[in-house]
Amino acid sequence: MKLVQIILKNSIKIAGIIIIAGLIIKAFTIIFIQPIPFLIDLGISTILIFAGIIIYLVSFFSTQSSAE
Amino acid sequence: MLINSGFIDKFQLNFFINKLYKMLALIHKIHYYSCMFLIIILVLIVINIGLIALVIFNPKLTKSFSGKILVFITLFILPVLTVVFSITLQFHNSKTTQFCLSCHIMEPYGRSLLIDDERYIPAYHYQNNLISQEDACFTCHTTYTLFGDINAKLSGLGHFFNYYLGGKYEHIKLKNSFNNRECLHCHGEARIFLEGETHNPIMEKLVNNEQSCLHCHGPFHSVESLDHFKFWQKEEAK
Repeated sequence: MKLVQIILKNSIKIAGIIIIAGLIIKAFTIIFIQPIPFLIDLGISTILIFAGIIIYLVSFFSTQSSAE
Repeated sequence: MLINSGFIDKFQLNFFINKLYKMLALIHKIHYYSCMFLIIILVLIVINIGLIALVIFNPKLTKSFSGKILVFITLFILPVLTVVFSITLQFHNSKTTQFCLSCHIMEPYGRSLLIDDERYIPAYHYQNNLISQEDACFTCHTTYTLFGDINAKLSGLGHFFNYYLGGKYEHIKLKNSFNNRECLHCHGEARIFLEGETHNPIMEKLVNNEQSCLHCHGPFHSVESLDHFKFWQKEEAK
C-alpha cells in the first residue's frame, strides 16, 4: 500500500472517531433545554465535529496534492 | 421474564420507566415543530455515526471514486448539516421561557408571571398571551436592534459565567436600564398608544428614551415579596 493511502486511511479513522465523539455528545445535549447542555453542545461537540472535518479535509487535500 | 429471573428488579425498572417518562415530558413541553426538528437531527446523527463506522471499518472504500464521494458525504456534508440544524434548534430553544427558568436563580421570576393581579405588567402580559407564553422572557428582555438577539445571548452568557465562577450570586440584575424601545416594539404602532392623551404631550421623550415607560407603568416582577401574592393556577384553568 502506498504511503499516501496509509496516511489518508489513518486520518479518516482519526477524523471519524473525533466526529463520532462530537455527535454522541450532541445527541445527549440537544435533548435538554437548559444552559449547561447548550454550552456543552456549542463549546465541545461543535468544536470536536469541526476538528474532525478539518483533519479529514487537510489530509484529503494534502494527499491529493502529493499524489499528483 | 427478565424481571422474574431477578436480572432486573422492579425498582430498577420503575426507575428506568420514570426517567424515560420525564425525558419524553421534557421533549413534549417544547413546540411541536421543534420536537420534529429534534427527531430529524437525532436520526441524522444515528445515520452519520453508522456511515462513519462503515467508512472506518472498510478502508478499501477510499480507493474507488464512489467510495471517495461516500467518505466526503460522511465526514463533511452530514456533520456540517447536523451542526447547522442543531445550532438552529439550540438558538431557538434558548429563547424559550423553559430555558430561562431552568436556572434556579430565575425561579422567582417565573413565579412572578403567575401573580393574580393585573396591575403587574409581566404577569398581565403573560397570562393574557399579549406576548407568546413560550418566549415570554426573551420577548421583553431582548434588545430590538440589529444584533439584539446575539447581544441578549452574550449577556445571558455573562450571567451564566458570573453565577458559576463569580462567587456569591443571589440576585440577578439587568445589565442596563430597561429601554423604551423594547416596549415600543409592540406598543409603538398601537392606536391606544398613539392617540392616548397622556402619551401625546411626552411622545418625543418616550421615543428618545428620555422618560421611561416604567415611570408610570408598573409594578413588575416584585420577586422580593412573592409570598404575599395569590397566583393564577394555570393547570387548573385548563
